[in-house]
Amino acid sequence: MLRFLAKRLGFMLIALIFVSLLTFTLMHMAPGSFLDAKRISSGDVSGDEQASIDVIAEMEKRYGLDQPLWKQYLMYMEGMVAWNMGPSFQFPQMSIEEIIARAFPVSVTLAVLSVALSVVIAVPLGILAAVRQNTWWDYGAMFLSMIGNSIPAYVLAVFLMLLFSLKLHWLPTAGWTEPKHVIMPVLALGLGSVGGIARYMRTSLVEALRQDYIAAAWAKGGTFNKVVLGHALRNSLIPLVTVLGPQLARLMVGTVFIESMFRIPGLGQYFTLAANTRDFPLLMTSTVFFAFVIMGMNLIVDIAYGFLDPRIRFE
Amino acid sequence: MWVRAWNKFKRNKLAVFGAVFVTLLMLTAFVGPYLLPYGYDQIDYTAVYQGPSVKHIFGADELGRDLFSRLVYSLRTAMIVAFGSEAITLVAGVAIGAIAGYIGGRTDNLLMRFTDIMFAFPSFLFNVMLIAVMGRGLFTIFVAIGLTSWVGLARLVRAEVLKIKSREYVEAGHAMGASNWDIVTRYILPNVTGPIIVTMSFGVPGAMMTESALSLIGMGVAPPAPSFGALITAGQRFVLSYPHMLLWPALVFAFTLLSFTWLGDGLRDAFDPRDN
Amino acid sequence: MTKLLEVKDLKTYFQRPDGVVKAVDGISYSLEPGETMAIVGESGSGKSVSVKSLMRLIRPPGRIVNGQALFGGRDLLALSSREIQKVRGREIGMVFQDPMSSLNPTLTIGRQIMEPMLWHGLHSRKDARTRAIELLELVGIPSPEQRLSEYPFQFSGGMRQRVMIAMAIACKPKLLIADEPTTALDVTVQAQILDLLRNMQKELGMATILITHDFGVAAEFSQRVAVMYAGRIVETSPMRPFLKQQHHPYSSGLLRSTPEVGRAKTTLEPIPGSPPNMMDPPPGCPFHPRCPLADESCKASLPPLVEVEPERMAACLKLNQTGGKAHG
Repeated sequence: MLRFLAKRLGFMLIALIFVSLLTFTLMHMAPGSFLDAKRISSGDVSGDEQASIDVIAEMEKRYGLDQPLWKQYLMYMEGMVAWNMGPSFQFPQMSIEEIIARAFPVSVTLAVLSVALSVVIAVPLGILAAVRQNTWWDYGAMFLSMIGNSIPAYVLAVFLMLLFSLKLHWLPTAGWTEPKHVIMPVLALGLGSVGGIARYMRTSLVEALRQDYIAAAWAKGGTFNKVVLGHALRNSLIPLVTVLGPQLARLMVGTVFIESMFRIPGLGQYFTLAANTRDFPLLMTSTVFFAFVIMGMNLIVDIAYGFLDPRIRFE
Repeated sequence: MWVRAWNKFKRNKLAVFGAVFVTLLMLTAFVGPYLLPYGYDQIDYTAVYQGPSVKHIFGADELGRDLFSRLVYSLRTAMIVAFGSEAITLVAGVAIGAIAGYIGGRTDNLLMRFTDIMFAFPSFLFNVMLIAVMGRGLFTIFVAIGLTSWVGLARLVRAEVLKIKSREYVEAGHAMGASNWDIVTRYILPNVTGPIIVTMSFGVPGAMMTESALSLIGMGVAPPAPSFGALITAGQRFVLSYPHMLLWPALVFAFTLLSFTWLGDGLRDAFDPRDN
Repeated sequence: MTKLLEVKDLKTYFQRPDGVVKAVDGISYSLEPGETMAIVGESGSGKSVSVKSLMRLIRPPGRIVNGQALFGGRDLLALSSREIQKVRGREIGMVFQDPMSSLNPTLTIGRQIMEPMLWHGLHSRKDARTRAIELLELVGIPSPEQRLSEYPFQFSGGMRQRVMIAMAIACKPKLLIADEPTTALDVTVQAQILDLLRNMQKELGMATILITHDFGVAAEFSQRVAVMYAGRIVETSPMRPFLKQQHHPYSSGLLRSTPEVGRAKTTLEPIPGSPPNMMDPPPGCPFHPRCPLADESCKASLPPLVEVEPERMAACLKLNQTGGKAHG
């Protein structure tokens, strides 16, 4: 278990360094810079040449852009590790760590609520489909899961909006200030994962129900609850933990679109903004941070799996 | 293999539906633009915000552009991006997977670690970065998607190559003096065609989703060129007053994705070697 | 003496996409309290399905289509699912073939042994634990108290089968069904498990049905034998006279292909051919394609199970010819 953990942590570290290097290289290959974009947008092109050159030089210094590339990379990595990344281009008055500290909890709230919602719906649905195999329950659940799997969250969000905002006038279409605002984004994100989890739950439970130890449990005189819920479900929930990792990753990425659609001030919103304005410090940091969060979640899920399965726990 | 797969596919109603709709959608996307009465950027100030009518069957947008035309062009964008990126995926995935599986040893190890890293890193973020760097455009979008979506295919091809490599007829081929290239192209690749087709058929709607997601956050094709994502973003602004601008793009897009999924599901079942 | 179990014309069929498999096709037998019987046959003869039918453990596409199984005055096949639950594990215990897969890998041994007692409300949790320790000791597992909190993967195959036996006898059932209990085990362990089963059977006085393909195991263990072929019983007999002389040519063939039963044999003779395709069994007597005595009449009709001697029955048209010592 410890060796497994060390190996996984090592891999995660290498992957993160790789991602940061890749991000960094890409950003510096980019033809235009934020400063160009800013100059053009502020109509400074035809202005005082000398003044704008001075301004640029000053800004370059402020963001460390006058240093050689390898030094810039090291500075950037140092800043990440020390959690002191300096100001963003787009929001000079705010440091990047402040932005993340403000926006990340919003995204996490969204993602966690969505996962919780999808599990709460998907697990009973999967059980029902597995226990009532080849009935309308089964087909219905699997049809829903197919739809959920093939339609992205932002399209689902559209239909939710048309229903709840336009038809029923129950919910506002955007914002993040009152509890009402949470409902639609969470539904849109969560419902998309229901399909995958339910389908997995069904397969895994059907597989468990076929095992010899289930026949043995029936032969001991178990009732439906004891055998199906106590033995089979218990064992099929353990591998379910492993799909939660990828689902969480999918949801984290999904927050980017959902936040953009519902104008939620989460990390995804800042990521989008950074990409659109070529705010490279913010874009790099949020990318690496996203990667870190997703890999970290996968690691936690794997550890949880190890704890739940005694065969792995004792090794 | 082909005959059996075809027979199984034919019996799957949803898959046949999917195949028919996909064909129709492709015709619409590639032939449709020549038959449309309006261009996607043709402005008609008399039709601004108009709901569905005889003149504009899906209505018009805030500039009076015909929504139906814009949807047809969106479909075209989605198809070009999907097929373009799948072509890159196919070449990269098969090459990397086949090389790793066939040569093995250190090459395999290195390539697979690289694949692992690519797999752990959410490809959408990578796409956004690539486009932020390369600039927005049809070409950059499908290149970006292609560069990030070969991982699954490479793993699959590698696993299949490893499995087939050790079979007797491949060893017999070796013994008879076939070159490595011969072995890979004549013995191994024909055997992995089924799984590759299945993976690719799921890759198409995947790439379409990525494309529209990119335009949703403003990183897709540049306006005024339409895309499902851009239409949804635009429609969403007017959802309470002009819902047709949101409803139609979402419906058509969802339907397109579903058709491809049905087709993919059917292909997967048809090529499934486990049952007969 | 009143019968403990009386099975009448049991039929269990499996509906496959391309036809019906008559896995068990009309078998009847009975068992007295405390009696031991072996059901012997090749794999696919329906012996395992026949006992799983008694426990109502047949899952779709399998279905019990006909028959009665009177057990203590009730028909097991007609009980509601709630009623059969009360019989399973309480009045009929069952030991399965593969101890590696028959224990739940994620639950402790202790919990799994206590389950039947708790489920049937026989003991409090505390008493059940004490009894579980006793049971483990009884089936020969050292330091039982400590092993109670261990998981199946920490046990060897033989130890797991001991645990399975402990589980099956936890509620002191009147009937124990052992479905190929030694097949999956090492040869050296097989004898120990068989000894254990016999000791438990004597100690608790349970009637026992042993399913096996091995006459050696059957002969050592049971008082009576039923030979199954293609879903039917072709011969039943008390064990001792059966070993001297068989009435059905299949029984003698099977016996001759088994090493050292009763007396030393120098050569083993396999039965020619292979078991019938159950989707499409041969017409008439299903054994005729492999039978040395078969003629045209065997293809024409299915031989009934008839009494040949007191307590001995066989289903063969050539009974006069098999009666002699020729096949003994």
